[in-house]
Amino acid sequence: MRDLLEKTISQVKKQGAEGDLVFQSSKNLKLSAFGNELSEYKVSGTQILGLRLIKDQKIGIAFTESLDQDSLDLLVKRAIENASASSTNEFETISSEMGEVVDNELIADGVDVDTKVAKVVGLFNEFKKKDSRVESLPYNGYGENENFNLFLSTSGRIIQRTDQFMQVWAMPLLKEGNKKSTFYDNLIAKEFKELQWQDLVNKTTDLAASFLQSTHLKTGRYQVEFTTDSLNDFFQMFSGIFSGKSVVNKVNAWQKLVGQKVFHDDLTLVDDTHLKDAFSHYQCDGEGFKHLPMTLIENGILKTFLHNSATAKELGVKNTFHAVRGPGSALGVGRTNFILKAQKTHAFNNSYIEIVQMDGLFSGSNAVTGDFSCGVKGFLHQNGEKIPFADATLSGNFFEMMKNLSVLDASLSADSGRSLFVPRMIFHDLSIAGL
Amino acid sequence: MQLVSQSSISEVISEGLALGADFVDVFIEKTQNENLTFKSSKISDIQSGTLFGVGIRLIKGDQVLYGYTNSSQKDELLRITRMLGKRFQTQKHSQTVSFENLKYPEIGMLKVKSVSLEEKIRLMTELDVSFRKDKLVSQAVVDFINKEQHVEIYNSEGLYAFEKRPYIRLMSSIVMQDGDLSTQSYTAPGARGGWEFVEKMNKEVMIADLLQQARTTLYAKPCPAGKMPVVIDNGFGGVIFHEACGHLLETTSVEKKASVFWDKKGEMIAHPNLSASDDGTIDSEWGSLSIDDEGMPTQKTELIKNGILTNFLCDRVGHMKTGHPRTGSGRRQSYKFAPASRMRNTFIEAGPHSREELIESMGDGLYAKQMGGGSVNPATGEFNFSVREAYIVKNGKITDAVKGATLIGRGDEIMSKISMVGSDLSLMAGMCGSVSGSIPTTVGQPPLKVDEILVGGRA
Repeated sequence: MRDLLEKTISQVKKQGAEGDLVFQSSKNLKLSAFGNELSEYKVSGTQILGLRLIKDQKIGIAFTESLDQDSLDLLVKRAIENASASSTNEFETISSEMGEVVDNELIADGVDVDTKVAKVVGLFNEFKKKDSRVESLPYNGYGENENFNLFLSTSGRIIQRTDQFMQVWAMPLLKEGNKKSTFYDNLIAKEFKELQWQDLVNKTTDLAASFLQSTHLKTGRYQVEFTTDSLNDFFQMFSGIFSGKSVVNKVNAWQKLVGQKVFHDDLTLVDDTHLKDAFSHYQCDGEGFKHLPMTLIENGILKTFLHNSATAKELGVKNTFHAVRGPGSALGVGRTNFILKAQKTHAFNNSYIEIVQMDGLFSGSNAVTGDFSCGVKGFLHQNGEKIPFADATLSGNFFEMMKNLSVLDASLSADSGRSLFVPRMIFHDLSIAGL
Repeated sequence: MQLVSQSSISEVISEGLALGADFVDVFIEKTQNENLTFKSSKISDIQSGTLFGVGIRLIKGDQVLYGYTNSSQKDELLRITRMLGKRFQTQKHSQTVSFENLKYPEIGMLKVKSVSLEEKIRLMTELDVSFRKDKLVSQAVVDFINKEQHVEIYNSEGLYAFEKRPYIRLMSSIVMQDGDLSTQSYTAPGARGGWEFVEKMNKEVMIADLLQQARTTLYAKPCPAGKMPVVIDNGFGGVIFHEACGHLLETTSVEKKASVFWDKKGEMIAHPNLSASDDGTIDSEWGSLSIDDEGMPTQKTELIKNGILTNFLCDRVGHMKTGHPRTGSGRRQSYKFAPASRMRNTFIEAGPHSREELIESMGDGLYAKQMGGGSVNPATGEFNFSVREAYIVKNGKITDAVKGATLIGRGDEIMSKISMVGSDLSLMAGMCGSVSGSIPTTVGQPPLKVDEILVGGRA
């Protein structure tokens, strides 16, 4: 594969251009069951190659899933054509970094497919054992991915990365009388043996069972606590707010707020790919630069956005080495692991809402204004009682929400993908519509 | 032109049958993509590429095995087939399969118009200039998506079918700012076709609508919260039916009894004023297909007639598991997904009322003029969707614009609360994500009155 990519890089150079190639291949297995029978068994192997080419300060991108010589010739030809029709971009360049980095996170699994099949086929019985009201598992499955990525640039940067992950997911459907309830969750791990299947059974069944007894909340304003997975949904939905690219594109509400308060004073936000407890660690960014930990918000004050070399150059600031690029996409900016650290904690003894499920956050949000509105399920904690509720909506503004909060416990908890680490927080005065 | 030789495919299917499969099909796809982005008044990205892959499905009893690869080499296709087939642990006598070309009516034009990159960039430039004539517009982004999906489908019953599916979409979004206030609005018309769709578009109306939508939401107050009657306007308003009912009528959910409607065929599931269909045959419509991704000619499927559930959307596996007739609804994003029963162009049929009659009859409530996206849990029927442009209605009159509204409810409950159906039916392109990936679908409806729904807003 490397020979093929090196030949393509030579072709790019012959055209008097610079460029970088991203090659990705993966092997996947996916299993799911219906009742006690295996209903889906999916195996695959895929590959894709993408070229970003710069000629005369113009950028062209092309990609292909076919890797025969004709397809590779066409790849270079299309990138040249696309570049020639593009506008001049004086800020985007190919990194001058050189040298080879090997980033290997593959771990020998040693578990055969039959064992995995047996585990998936036995899942429904585990749910039935846990709660006889489980009628079915409409969504369930196990998946594993082994990925190989190779990056090559005309300046001589070579980055080779291999990684893997396994996932199991389930959504039990519980029925009692005419009431039905579900709860979906998934687990992710580097090795099969790390997956705690029984934890998934217990958590999803217990929560679905709780919502069989759900009540309606009164419409009003509440103090709200979110699960870390729900907070991660917010950070993903509003990821553009941390991005230097969205500043360049003039769609970032914080574009003039560097040096000003954007989060609560007690909070500091750091991006750190090397965090030990995180699921993924990347040595280099999408341009081939080494990643470094970066403080974005310190004691509530915005210090910097995430940048790649082009956004940094255009805005006249330092690169933070957060470039991202897929085979078929333009150069972008993205986070690695976010760690939200708290300086102080506060006592809190009032009633509050704990939200464990949000539906429709992505379609119900405005990335520019920070406004959001979505369906929610959770618990009302009041006078020592924990009362489940459903059929409610939550509305607010993410940017305001991150200022109006109290930290209850500074110790950090992670989302299920282990990429966001947050202290325990209560968000004040959020609107919930129910009855 | 065949993407992979028929003799190779014949060997692959024979091998699958010999390994114990009752049924084998092969889906071959080659898709050419071209995406242009015009941002900050210049062309910022041009990307183009080719996707190619082969998906092989083996079915035995209720068990579905699926594999895919980017290779067209016979040895690799046989390797995938054997890897799948060994799960069956049975052997049958090998049989030779020969194929017959499927004849079917072609949906849309056989040849579509294409133009140069320069012509596309010229149009994007014109749109950008038009948007920026409004001094409150701080950013405008125009994306142009052009795709041609060439599919070939073979199966062990001797079927060979192929289709070229051209798609075109022009997406515009603008950011408007006035002091500390800001908002974003977008529109994304699309069609199965080529440049002729762009030529026929009324661009002046599109530009005016987008600017008006942004200006309205820029100064809108937060939406009040609580249960109230809502009039949902036509076009993308059809997302309510798509989410609240359409997904629940796909046998992908029905076969697992994971739909609240799984046993309701022939029963009243909606208000008697409501009829709905899913039609894959509408000329040049975004969700239209000549054949589905299992090689069955597509059709118009009546789903609900005067409130009674008449049909489900059914693919081959859905038919095997439920006995409901196949409807040419087996769809997938690409060769990376096994097909599943999915919607095509789904809409509520036109009724007798004018928009004004609906609004006047509601007293106090909400007029949802433009809808956003949404999602549904088919097992419980719980759905949600967002409203992009909405107005408060007082005493049957439209008053203040409001923002930040979400509508939530349960499909089986909401369908009986659609009490009045308007006459002005229109359709709108969208993308639908589900078990077999993200596919082009059209939603549509005339204006509707829902007697009561929970509106999420500011308390």
